[in-house]
Amino acid sequence: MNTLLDVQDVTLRFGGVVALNRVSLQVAWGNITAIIGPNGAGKTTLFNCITGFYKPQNGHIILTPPNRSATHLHHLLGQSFAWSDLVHPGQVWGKLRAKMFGGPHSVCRAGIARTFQNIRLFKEMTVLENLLVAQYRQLNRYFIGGLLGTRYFRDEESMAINRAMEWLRFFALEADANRLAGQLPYGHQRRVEMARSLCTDPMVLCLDEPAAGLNPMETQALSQLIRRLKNEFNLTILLIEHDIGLVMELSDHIVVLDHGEVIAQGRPADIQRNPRVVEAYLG
Amino acid sequence: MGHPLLTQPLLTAILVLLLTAPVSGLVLDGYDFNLRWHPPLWLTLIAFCIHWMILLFKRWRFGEKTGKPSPWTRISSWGSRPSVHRLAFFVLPVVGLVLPFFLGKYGLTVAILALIYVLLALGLNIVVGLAGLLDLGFVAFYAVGAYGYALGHHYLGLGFWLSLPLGALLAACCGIVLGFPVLRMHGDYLAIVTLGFGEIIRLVLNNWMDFTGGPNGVRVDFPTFFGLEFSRHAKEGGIPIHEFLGIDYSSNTRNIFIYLVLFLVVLLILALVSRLKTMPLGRAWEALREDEIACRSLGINHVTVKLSAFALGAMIGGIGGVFFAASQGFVNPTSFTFFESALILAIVVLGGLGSIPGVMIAAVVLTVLPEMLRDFSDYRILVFGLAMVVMMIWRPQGLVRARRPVFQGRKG
Repeated sequence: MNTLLDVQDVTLRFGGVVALNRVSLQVAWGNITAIIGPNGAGKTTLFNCITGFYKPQNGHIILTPPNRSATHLHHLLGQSFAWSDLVHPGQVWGKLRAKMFGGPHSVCRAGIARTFQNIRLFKEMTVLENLLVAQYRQLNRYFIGGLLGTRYFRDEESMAINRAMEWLRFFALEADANRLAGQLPYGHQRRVEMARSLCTDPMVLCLDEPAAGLNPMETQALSQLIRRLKNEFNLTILLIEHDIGLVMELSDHIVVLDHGEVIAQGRPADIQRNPRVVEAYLG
Repeated sequence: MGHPLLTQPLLTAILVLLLTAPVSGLVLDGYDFNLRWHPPLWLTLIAFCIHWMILLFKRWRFGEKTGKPSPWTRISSWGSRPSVHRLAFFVLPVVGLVLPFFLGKYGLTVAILALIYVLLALGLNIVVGLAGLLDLGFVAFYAVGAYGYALGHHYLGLGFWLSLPLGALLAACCGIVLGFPVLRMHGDYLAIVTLGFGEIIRLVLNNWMDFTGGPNGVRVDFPTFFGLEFSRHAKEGGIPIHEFLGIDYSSNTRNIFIYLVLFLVVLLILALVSRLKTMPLGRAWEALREDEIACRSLGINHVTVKLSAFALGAMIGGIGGVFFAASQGFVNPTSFTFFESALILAIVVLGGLGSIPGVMIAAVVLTVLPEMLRDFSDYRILVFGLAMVVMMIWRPQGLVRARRPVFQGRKG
């Protein structure tokens, strides 16, 4: 198994509340991994740790793309300086840089994209603009070139529009390209958000309850789309979902969280028979 | 050739040359000036090399960008009646350029004031309308620009033309200084801090007697045009412009000159701001206004994006300030009270947040209307308040709603 994302012993406390307690899990490259558990188990908190919105007090989160060196995601959020830095002055620069310019955006640049449980689209912008914003990093941001409208600037803009339109086509949203994102029906908004996060060109896609609020038909279509993302684009997908049917059908690996701890992980068939999981969640 | 690895540094170099040449290349020697070629050329070369090396590093680190161009293009953001907009696009500049020659002295003063408010509104529109950062102390940057010119002239003998870029730069720096502590703030809290910042600047200007002259203010010299002065009798060795052109002296000439320069600057800023709206940076500002967390999840560094909005908005405010000082010939702190901030904010909100034409119309209306209503001057603020209330009920989105760019597949 080729581990792409390795979460080791992550602990996160909010004051006295232990939201995550020594959570460890591995996400294999090209797999769909589902995280399930009752409400308040810490699923979204774990997502926020992985995508850099929360900084765990303990533990490591390591992204190891195939054929490339590993990135310690928690380093990107900035660490405190220590006396050992005096021995390794080379680290100081990296730490300083992460402290000044680090944050969730650096995690995204490392290759992890996410969607949100409560949809967070740029509502007053068109769908296409939403997708263009996501390509901020890939675009030519040379100020003078943009002001003068140089050919190079226009070319990159055009490529970005092309990428955006390809993802819109994939999600069957082409007709909505020029509509305001906030005016779309709920199911479309969910898909726009997925398309937008895919525009950042990620390796790992984290979907936070993508099927929430969708009818059975839409859920079925979504399940096919997620499968296609895995098969056609070799994406590694991390999924939080309460729709057990969808989870069992899609996922290669399931992690069950309860009260901030991993109570079980394994293949769908094993999880379904696990007595602890049945007691805590499946019922 | 269109290779970005060379053209981009070249454009940077040209910009650096344009900006630094007047500062470092001209040495005043009495009423003459000598040209020095070396310093600006060196600076230009250094800028070229640095930018070139950054691009090389980026290519080495991230590789070359690839992708197919799209058959989809932005058709316009002009909305449903492009012909009306196109007409305005060509007619307004001409009207604006011809206008000062038909206005009296009073009319010119009002027109200059209106244009200054257009500048201020365009600047605040970036901060509040596009980036969604509620700024109640925008007048601070206006003051920085005005005092930058006045004090620069008083202490360093800087002229108008040098003060224009320097005042803009100074105001932009102040924008960044304000931006840093408020990076984590939103809405009400941000408004309070910016309000405080505006008051701090005013109080410093008011109380630092030794440096700023306090409430007595500072006198500012009027601008010159390539060394030609606009006064009746030039200083020793100088030539007044009416003698140079062979026309009769008129006190209007100076105001016409300021108006024309200001008008060109407004056109330039207008072009800049409307380009920005379709550039990645402008889109990032708007995205930041809509949802900051989503922005960060998409790899956009909210710190740099926010600071750039503050800096660019402040820069435009600073330019407005320089023109204010130049047209008044005198600055003192009473011109930079909170009421000014509130007025500029009202202009932006009334015009329509983020809408450039709306903001411009509102700026002109809100400066010209009070002048026309001089007879009712006791009730001016009352009328102003009523207008605000009526607008908020009737058109809460402002005079002109900001339009979104529309993209369309190429036909055929």
